Amino acid sequence: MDMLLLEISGWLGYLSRPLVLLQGFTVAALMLGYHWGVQPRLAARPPIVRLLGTLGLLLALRLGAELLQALGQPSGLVEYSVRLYAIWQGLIVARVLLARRFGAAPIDRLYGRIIKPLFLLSLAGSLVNQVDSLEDFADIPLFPLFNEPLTTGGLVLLFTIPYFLVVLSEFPVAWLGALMQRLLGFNKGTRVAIQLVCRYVLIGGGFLWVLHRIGLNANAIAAVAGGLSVGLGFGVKEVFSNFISGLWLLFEGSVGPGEILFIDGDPCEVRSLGLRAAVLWRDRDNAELVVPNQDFFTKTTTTYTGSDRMRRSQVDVSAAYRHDPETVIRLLEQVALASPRVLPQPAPKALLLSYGDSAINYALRFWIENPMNNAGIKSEVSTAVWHAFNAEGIEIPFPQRVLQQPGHREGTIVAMPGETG
Amino acid sequence: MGGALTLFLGLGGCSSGFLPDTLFIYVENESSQSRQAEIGDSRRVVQQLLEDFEQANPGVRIRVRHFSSGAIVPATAYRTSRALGPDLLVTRVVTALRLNQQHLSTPVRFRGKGLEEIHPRFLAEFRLADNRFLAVPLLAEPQLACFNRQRVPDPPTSLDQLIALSAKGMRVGLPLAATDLYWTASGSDAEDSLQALLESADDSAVAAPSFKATDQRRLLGWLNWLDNANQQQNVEFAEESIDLVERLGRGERDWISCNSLWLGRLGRQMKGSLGVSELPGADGQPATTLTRLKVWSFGTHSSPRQRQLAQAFVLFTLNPVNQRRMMLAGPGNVPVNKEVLIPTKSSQRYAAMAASLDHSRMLSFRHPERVEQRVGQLHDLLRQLIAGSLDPNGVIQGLTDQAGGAPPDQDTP
Repeated sequence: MDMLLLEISGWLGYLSRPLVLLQGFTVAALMLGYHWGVQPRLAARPPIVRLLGTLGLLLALRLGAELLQALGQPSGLVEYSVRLYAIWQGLIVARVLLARRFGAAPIDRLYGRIIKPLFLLSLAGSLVNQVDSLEDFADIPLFPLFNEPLTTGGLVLLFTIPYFLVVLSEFPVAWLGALMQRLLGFNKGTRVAIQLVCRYVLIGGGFLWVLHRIGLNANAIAAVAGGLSVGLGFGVKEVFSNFISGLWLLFEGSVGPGEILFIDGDPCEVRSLGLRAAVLWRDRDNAELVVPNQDFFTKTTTTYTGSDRMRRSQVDVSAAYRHDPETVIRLLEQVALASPRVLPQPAPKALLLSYGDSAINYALRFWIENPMNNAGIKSEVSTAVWHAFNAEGIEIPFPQRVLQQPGHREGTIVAMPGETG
Repeated sequence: MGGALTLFLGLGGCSSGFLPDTLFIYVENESSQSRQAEIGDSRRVVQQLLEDFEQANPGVRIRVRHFSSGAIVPATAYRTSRALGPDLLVTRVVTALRLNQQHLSTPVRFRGKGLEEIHPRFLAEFRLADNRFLAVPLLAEPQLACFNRQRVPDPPTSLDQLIALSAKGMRVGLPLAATDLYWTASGSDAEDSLQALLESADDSAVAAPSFKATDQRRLLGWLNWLDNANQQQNVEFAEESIDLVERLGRGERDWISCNSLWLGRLGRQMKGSLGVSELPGADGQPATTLTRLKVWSFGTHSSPRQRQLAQAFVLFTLNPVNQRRMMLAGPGNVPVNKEVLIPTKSSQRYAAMAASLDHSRMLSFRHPERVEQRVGQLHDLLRQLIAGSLDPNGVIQGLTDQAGGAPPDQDTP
């Protein structure tokens, strides 16, 4: 680490060169003049005027470089700052244009996760390259790691490569998954599983490459792996168990993105199956549930999307004893068939379930296409049943109870609306 | 504007108390590709020199950067365009001259008796008319024969003997670069023709000189020897000298043509088995070789203080004590300071190096681009000769075509 600090402090030696100072002052004067003198006045103007202001600064920097060249002096640092500022402004303009085309959220995500980190990394490398040999700078030893010196380059690789592997591996893996799905006819779950496995392999392989690249020998890597094994046995057992469960479930296809599962009495859609847990969306209250993968692996799971996506739904209804059950059953089936979101096949089926205290109990069973729409379709069908019964004069009776009180005339009947028997 | 600039540049040159006195040095490595090839010994020696100089000049820091021979000129140009170039460079002669041609280094004048101790034959090439020096020699690196003493108890003393020993089983490694093969031309009496070919100051950008019939005949004799050597079962040619060094170190070759700069590396690998001798010429006489020099060049944008320190450091490396120290610490270094005695009597290795230097010449690099171009053209033709796609006459034809001169005499044996 001392060598790195010594190296960086050595760069100050360039400041003793008048031509370096001259270029630095040229750039600093123009940039500060713009940001303090011009930019505040342009802040309230339309974007195009602000863009013109930026172009004006670039032009002024360029003219500064030309002037130095005309005087026979080196101007590389000024030209470098022109290029750097132009790229930065270009990225800002591109961001605005892309956000208009694709929406702000994905572009913000793209910039936040990929473009900005890449730009900053390139900027850091480029700045070092102005004053030093990048290769020699990367070879500066910092501190020993498993008896091997960790260099500046190794440290940068150790932090950046895994990050970019995680962020960027998503895209080629998605392309590969889609290609394999098209060629081999996988279902969606298998495709996602293959993508996930490929991604983990890519990230794992990349990480091993980084360890090898920074000089960790095979023994050190084996020591790391040994430590992980002990860790798996104790601290991270659950994490590892969840990870393996997730992979298994993906290949099995029972729990994958898009599947509908019954969790605590509610149908939920699986949004993603991650390293540790699955994220499910519950329609009822728009909640997202994070369920450890291991739960699906060890407990019974009710799914509506195992072999198909249809769900059989049921509406319970009662009709007075005086109505002919066959008429009621026929009417219920007609109502279900007339309901637009009820599937005609398999055909709806009404059944007489039981003779209740106040009414005959029927069940109307029908099939729907999307399990997540069950509550809404049940409501539609129930409403249609009420209208049909009303139109046909079929009574849905209140529960009735006969109370006899001492002192009252025998045979007096008191109806208690709303009471169940 | 011009006056203000002059004032600014004048003021900026003053050394200020809060800024460190830093000297930036670029070092060219031997290989055109690798940065690591030559670092071994020279880095240790250079580090010792730096520490001594920093001790003698408190507050001065020296930063050394290593570049491959293919990268040092572009890297210097890149940073010089920003006034961030080096204060000093250690390079081969051809690189130093190319740097000077591209205005990436600047000639300097040494006051007093600073360079009087440097051997005149090393210094003459770099002296300008106004008594400034566009480069200053640092060390000489002669060409030698390196061999495995266990396999080759008596090294060959002539080219014929070299072929004869290879026929008896001695595995020979030869370089393909024309400058590294120059010594074989001396054994064929063609060194003058080859040197004329490489140094010719033809003004045309691509043309080589039109050969005289005598030159053609001599060169053809040399090419026939190379072709004959190539036919031998135990003779192999290598694109890069470092390949030969590696193969000798691994025991895959018994005798190679090598430069003294590899002696440290070979010594560590082969221990006592490493033998060194002069390269074989004709009739038992040693071959005439081309001397390689490492030279100092001065950067263009140093502050006055940095220039002063740079000159002081160069003189520091050239004084007899440090020249001797570099000679002893780096087994392939031969001092350019004539006051330093080379221990030829106590060491066979130094004796061979000194003798090789005595039988050596220096290529004139007045036109470095042209010399490099010719070396490159000849290298391509030699590669085709070794691959069997051209015969010696075809090589001469190729050289003549590039020269735009007369076709070779087909009757020449």
